[in-house]
Amino acid sequence: MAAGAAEATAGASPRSRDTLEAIRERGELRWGADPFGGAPYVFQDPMDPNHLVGYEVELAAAIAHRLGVEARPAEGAWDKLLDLLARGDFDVALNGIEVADEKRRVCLLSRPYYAAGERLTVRRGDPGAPRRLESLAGRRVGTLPGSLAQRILERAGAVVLTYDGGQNDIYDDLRLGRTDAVLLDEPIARYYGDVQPELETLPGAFGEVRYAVAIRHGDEALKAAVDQAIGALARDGTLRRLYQRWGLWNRETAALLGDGGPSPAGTAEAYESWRAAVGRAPSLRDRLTQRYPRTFWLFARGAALTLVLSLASMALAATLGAAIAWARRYGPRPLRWLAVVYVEFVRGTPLLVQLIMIYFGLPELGVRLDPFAAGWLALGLNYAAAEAENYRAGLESVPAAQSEAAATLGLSRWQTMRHVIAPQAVRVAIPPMTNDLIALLKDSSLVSIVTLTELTKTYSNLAGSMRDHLGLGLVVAAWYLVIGLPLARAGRAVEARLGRHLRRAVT
Amino acid sequence: MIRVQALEKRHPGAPDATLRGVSFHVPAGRLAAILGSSGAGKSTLLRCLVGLEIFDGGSIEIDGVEARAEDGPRASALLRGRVGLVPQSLDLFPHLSALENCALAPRVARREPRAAAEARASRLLAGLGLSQRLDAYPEQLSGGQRQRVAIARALAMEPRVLLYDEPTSALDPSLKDEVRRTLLTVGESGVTQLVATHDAGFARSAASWVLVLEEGRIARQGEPDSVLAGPR
Repeated sequence: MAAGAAEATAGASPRSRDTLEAIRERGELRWGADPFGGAPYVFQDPMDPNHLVGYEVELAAAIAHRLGVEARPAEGAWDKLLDLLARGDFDVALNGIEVADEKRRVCLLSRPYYAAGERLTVRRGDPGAPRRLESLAGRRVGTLPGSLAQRILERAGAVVLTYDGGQNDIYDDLRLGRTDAVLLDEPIARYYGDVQPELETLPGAFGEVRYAVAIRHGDEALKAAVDQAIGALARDGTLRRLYQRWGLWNRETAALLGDGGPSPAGTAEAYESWRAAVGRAPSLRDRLTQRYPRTFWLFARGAALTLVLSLASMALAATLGAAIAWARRYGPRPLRWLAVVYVEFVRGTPLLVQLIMIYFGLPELGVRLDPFAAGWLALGLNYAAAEAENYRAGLESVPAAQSEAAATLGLSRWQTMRHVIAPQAVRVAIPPMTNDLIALLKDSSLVSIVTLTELTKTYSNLAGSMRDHLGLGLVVAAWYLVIGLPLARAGRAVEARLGRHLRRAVT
Repeated sequence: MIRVQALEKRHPGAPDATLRGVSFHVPAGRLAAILGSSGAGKSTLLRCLVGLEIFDGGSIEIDGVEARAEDGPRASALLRGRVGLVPQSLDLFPHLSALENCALAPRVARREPRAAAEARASRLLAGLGLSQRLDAYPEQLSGGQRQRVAIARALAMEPRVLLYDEPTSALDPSLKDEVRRTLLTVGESGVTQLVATHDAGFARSAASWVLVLEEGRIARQGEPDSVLAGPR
């Protein structure tokens, strides 16, 4: 009894010693970040998308090194990082997480490792562009959701447009005239605004943002160790060198780290290579012969996950759907009623909501599923409702006289179902099932929110880091067709086989 | 042999009983016809005999096995498999070939080996002139061929009694004669047959005993000539 209670407590909020000890034991610091969060934080190398790069990748490695372990990135959507941290999907979150009071309510924050101003970017040569905080009132300004910039803009009375899709979209919309300005953290402005010749980032900052490492509540020892590591890295100049390489060294960070020299020294080689990579799109020839072939294994991995997840989910949906259809047509009244409620509830609510409930909601009840299991369960439970309806339509398409004919021949109800009703019903249910399988293949892209990098997520990651949405869009479309068409073909083959009796013989 | 005594059947919600004390007897191996206009209760009578309906009163005896109304659903279960039925709409299994239609029930309900079930099925089909169409699906057969498959399917369970519901409806005279000859062929095996029909001409030419059902009761019965020569 007492042991059980102690275990439950430990499970609900792992004590700090446990996490720090666990890190040291496994020799690995698992740090959460969003590879789609973009440069210069954590992103796929545009020259070689199989690698994650970014100043925070190097920072995580340096902190891990100080703790005497290796760093291993774990992927998650940026706005879900703190939820995933709380779930225990990784040890810390390190991805441009701003120091703010409302964050302290859900997690511990380390001492800040970087500081920067909020910078305003406008169209170059736009005479009506807002240039001061006061002139932002009533203007359309883009930024990231939940950021300090958003709060500044709202206070200034601007019409704020927030983007979940990534930094490219924010600056592209400004360039295309859909917004009047963009306010974002200096690193983002530098990597996405400054690289576009049509845009200019105004001098002067509108407030200061600081980034810190997020740590679970209760992990005080881990926080102390991380704080100590950051302090040591600041003292020995590692951080300064790191930020200079990425072109990020600034006055704010110099003050934050207590480093006397605000002006950067040395060349920002990482920044320059980023500029070179995204400055102009490579020719179609280069893309076809070099860039796209290099994405092969990333896409293949994503496609394999999409396919395996879809097939496994369909198997669950088909089994559960058959049980529901049976209950609805032949079950006793309470079961019939339950089946109707299930179908209507699942069909009437968005799959996204169900997925979030299963992945982020169930842990509140002590059920913690890994991402694949959660995605499989959500897709399977969701599509079970659709399959149940398919089977019901199939069962209802078989005339009652068929059951009576079987009964007069002495077949039991089960034998009638197995040999007479089901074969005829399945033939009717196969075309919509094939359709659902293809739909499921596409719906499986939703599982990217639970950190699974399937095909669509692979595409959006790559398109973001290579700034090539159209070309890679065609590439990912081809991948979907490559895995989808054989499934459609298989469905037609099964249908034809079950429909043999409908081929009229030439007599 | 069929012996029906005081059979009663009332459909829930209907104002009058459909069968109101039906009694008759068909000796073993006979071919009898039940004549009656539509709504007289012929189909209900057949459904009771074959075990598809639970009847409310009376009893049905098939070759010494008696099903009584008091037995409720067990009475129906008792009749199933002993009594075969060729429904008006035939209700062949569309996804199975002629041979599979006939072999399914012996194979599944009686657990006969597939080879034995199919051998008897093909013998039965051949006996009804279908040896060339064993592998055809119902959709690929003519109306007359389908009817013979339905008969063979019922016979495959070796019933003591075989019932037909309107076997000649919508058939032209030459085909009616084909049905008559088929029934006579089946009769040679000793099966008791009961044909529900509203076609007096067919009843006279095929049956050796005729029952006339009117308003849920047997109004007359006897040799075809005596029953059908009287006032119509």
